[in-house]
Amino acid sequence: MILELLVEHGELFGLAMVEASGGRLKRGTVYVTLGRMEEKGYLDSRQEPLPPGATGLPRRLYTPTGHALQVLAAWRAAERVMAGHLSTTEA
Amino acid sequence: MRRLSAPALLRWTARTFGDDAATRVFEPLVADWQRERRGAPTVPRRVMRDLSAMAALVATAAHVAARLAEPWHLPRHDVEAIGRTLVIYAATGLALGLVPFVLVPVVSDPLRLAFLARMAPAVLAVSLAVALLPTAAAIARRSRGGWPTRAPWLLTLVTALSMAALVAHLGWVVPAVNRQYQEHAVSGGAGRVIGLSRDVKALTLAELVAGHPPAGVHPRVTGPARRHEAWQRLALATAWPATFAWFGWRLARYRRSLGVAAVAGWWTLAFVTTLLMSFGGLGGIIVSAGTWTVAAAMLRRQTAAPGLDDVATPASPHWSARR
Repeated sequence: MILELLVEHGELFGLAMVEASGGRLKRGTVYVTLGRMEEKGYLDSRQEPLPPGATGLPRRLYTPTGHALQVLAAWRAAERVMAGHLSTTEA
Repeated sequence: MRRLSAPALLRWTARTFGDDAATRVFEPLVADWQRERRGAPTVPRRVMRDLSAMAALVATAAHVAARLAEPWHLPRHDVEAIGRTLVIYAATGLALGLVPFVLVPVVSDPLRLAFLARMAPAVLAVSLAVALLPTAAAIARRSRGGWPTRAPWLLTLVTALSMAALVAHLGWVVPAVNRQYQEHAVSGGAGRVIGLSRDVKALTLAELVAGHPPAGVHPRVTGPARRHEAWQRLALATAWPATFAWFGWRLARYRRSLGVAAVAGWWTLAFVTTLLMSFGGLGGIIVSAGTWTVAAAMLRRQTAAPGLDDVATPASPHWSARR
């Protein structure tokens, strides 16, 4: 779901993903999931540049890697095949 | 009260969970929190957002801790070797701990299984705690990458098991036995007479488990029984705090904050144990206070020495793991 959100909306930070997911992603787990996906090579991240004079920590923006896009494409293809197979069986 | 700042919070997460988790997981969370907080139009809205972010922080910390305690991310043979070490030492400790009770000549009743069942949780709790030392050594031998961060969490799980065994012992078995003793000491009458400490050595397992007074049992506390119990209290008042202190000392080598928290938890439990076992006995409290003082000195000496935290490298230009 995180990959789909990133493909749809482009670069996002953690809290924006929670808001964009309409409640399907939870704030208490999204950062752990993002960290693990980055560790596994599905996501790249960069820190948002702070405007001059701004204080605080810069937010971290996430983008899917090429590998993640390939995995997502393969997953969608598999989903389509399975859906087609199921509809054929039901008919 | 001093306000907790974002860098202080991140330093704490780095000390507790490691630099990688602090950078990858907690830093984005805190950064989003700060930005969200600044954008809040009213004070009530800001308070609501703070509460939501704090709940998320606690949930995230729980997830990271659970992940760090997962031994299955290690190679299978390493997990097996560590598990084998723990099981062998805990089983040996359990067997050795129960031997004196099996061999006690005064307990000639063939139904001593009940007494062993009563003692097993307490002995298991001690043997698990003792098994932590060789387990920690086995973990240290196989330390690779983030394992030094993972090790204290695994040890904390073992401690939790040990504490659960102790709570089962103190919370269920001892009260059940004492209730039997009190009821029968009052009722008296003809029938089986039990003269041993806490009257359980001649109870059957079924009688012990049932928690009801067995018919015709009349305990009588004798002089030897009182002495036996005094030694038992002394052992509990010294062995527990010493074990707890050792655990915290060992843990503090990896992560000081966890080690100190563990010692605080263990000592609280030791204090409760002492109170429960001695029923306010001044001797037990004095002995345990002395042991705790020695334990505190041990911990202080250990935490004064350089540990892993001192060699941690700063993970982010916006905060540093070192103060």
